[in-house]
Amino acid sequence: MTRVTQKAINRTYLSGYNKNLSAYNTSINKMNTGRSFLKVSENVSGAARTYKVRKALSRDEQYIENIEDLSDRIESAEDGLRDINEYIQTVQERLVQAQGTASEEEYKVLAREIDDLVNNCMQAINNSNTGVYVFATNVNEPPFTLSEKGELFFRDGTNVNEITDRLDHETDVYADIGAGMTFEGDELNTASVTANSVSALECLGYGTTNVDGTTYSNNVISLLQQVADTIRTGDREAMGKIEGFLDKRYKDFVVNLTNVGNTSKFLDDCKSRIENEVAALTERQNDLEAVDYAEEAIVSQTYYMAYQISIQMGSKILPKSIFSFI
Amino acid sequence: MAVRSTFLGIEVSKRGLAVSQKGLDITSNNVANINTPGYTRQRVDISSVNMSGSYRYPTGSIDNAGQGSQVDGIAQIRNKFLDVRFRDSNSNTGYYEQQVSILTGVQNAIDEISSDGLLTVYQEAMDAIQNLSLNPNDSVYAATAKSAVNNVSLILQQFDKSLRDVAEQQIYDTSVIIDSANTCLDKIATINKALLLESNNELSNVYSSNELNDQLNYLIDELSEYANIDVTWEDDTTVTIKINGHTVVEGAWCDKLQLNEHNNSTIDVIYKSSGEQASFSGGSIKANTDYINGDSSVTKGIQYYIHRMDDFAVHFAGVMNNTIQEYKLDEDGNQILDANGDPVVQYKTLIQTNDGTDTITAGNITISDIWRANESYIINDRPEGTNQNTSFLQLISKMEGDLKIDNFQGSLEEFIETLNTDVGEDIVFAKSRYDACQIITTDLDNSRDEISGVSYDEEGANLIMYEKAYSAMARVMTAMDEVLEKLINGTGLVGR
Repeated sequence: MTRVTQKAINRTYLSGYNKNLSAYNTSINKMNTGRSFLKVSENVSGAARTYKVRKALSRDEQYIENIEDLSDRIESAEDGLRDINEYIQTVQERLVQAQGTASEEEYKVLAREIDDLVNNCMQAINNSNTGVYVFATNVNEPPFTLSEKGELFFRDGTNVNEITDRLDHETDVYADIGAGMTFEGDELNTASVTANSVSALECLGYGTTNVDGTTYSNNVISLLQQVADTIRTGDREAMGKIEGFLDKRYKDFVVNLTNVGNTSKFLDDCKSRIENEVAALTERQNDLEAVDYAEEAIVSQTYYMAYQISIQMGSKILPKSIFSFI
Repeated sequence: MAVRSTFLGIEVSKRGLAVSQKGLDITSNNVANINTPGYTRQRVDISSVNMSGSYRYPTGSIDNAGQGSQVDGIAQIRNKFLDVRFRDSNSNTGYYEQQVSILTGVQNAIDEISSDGLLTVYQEAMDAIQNLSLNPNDSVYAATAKSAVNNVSLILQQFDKSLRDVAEQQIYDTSVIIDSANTCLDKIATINKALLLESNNELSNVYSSNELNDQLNYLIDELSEYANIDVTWEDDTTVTIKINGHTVVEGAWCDKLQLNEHNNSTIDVIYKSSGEQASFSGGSIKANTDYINGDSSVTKGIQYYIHRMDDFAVHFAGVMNNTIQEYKLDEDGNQILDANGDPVVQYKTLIQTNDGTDTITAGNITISDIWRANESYIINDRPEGTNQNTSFLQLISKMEGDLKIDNFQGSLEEFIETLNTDVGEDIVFAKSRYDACQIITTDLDNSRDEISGVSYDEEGANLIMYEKAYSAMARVMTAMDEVLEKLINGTGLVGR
């Protein structure tokens, strides 16, 4: 026959009592911290998933920062290029106007006006935003300087008309926007990243082109300066020739401007996509890490009831023996 | 038939009263000791006084019949088989309990869930280098990157220290456990000595000292929590105890355990008598040695996690120190040229040790002196033809990229994630084993209590039983008194 001793009753009772109290305490902790688990060992698979979600969230938040930073630069560059677009159109108008005018004085006035527009172009292209030059690439300096003679120099001191390959004079910089950046050895796969800068040389041009024995600058600003100088000469034939070349360069310029606009739109789309990802990840993180208060409140109450029952049972069971009656 | 002794009845009554009195004494002793740790309920072994069938009285004798009862001894009610099973189970419980305790310390030391640990700081460092890649010439972003990378080295140092603190604490716990085990061994040997002295008592083979046996069993129970033990009860009532074949208690002699702590936060346990390495197959001492010293994928102890943090530090330093280039300069600060007259290019040292040694560990990793002195070191003196921005992107790519550390293949972040989930899984396993062992141990303890424990009801019943027997014997004595009264004062009065 099984003998039931007081010590065995005490041991069993205390074990159950402690389990209830411990479970109640854990439940209270969850509600106080708002976390469904506090240690990896409480939910190992949940913790493993939590690490992945946290990492993805951290990456996405940084990609959004990168895109915002990039967007600011691209938008500023786009603004500058739009200003230059207007200046070119004004110069084109003045060039047409010049070809219909005979007065030397009027040529000078038009040329001076174009000189001013060239200066405006210089301001637009050398603009800076919070200490960063909008058209800086690998070096944070204004891209162009204009000499007193009207010659345009790149920031490394080279005359833009003498540049044959812009990458000999500047380096493109890139940003990781979460497109799966890869390297082949030490070489960056540029298709896996986005350019972090807008090259003034690429947008406005460099080097020269010879048209029927006349050398024209491929650089729009330098070309505008050339237009002003041509108007000053009053040579209508030269004006006609340079007008044709300016029209051609303007088309190239507009293509570049459109490309910058497209990049801006692409970045907006990327940001929107990553923000959606962040929203989904945040919800996932919430599911993984946050306590469900309604559910936990019920669990907590259940443990509390069990704890109270333990106490009541204890007071009834523990002292009972024959000694209560003899 | 011979004439019976005149006062036999009184003698029988006296014996009966004494037996009942002893019954009451032992019952009250049982109740008094109901909560005494290690107490085994005692029982009064009573027999009828035998005056026949012995060598002195080879035939039955009516004259000698009815001699009453006597107390043969006070027995303990104990099942030695259950004791063995309990102690085996208790060793396992002690092992897993200690394993959980140590691994929980490790888990807290490298926690990434409730607090911002290495993963968070590492991600912040990558963010800072991302920002630097967008502004590759800006000293403000260079300073932020320096600070963020420095934080990675600081938290590695902190993790290393926390893990070593856990080791120190566990080593101290081990020393306390070993002191307690030695105290048990000492006390058991002392009790053995007392039992040896008592073995001269002619009844000692049947009824040895109950209180000494209780103490002995209690100490053996306690010892079983610390180590796996084999207990042999000798004919002289003493116990011989062995741990994995090594005798630790024999008669009044006992061996002692000695803890040796080494400089690298590891320990070993030896026997004082021989200096021989002590080996265990269960108990809390084994758990402590296993999980303080454990440095393998089979036993992932504190050393394992310390060395895995070292691995992280080495690989992190490898990434940081093998990506950003600079010109190699001589002592005067002039560029060193190669055989073709081209300047020699080397990688910038961004990470170094803080103790002058060549081997990077989690405990000594820090940012380089040159970078500490000048935050722009990371962006200055770029060799011609190299792209600063691309270098930083490559640094990010390497920090995110896969690498191989022993059997692990993945990114540094995944390495840390794996360490955390490894310790979590080990805790879950050890907890489940601990729970299972504790249930078995508790069941066995309850089974022992079914036999050896004191029951209020039972003792209450015994109390009534002995009290009634006492009353009855008192009544018998009264009857005998009346019989003698009749004999002495009421007999032979005819004719008076």
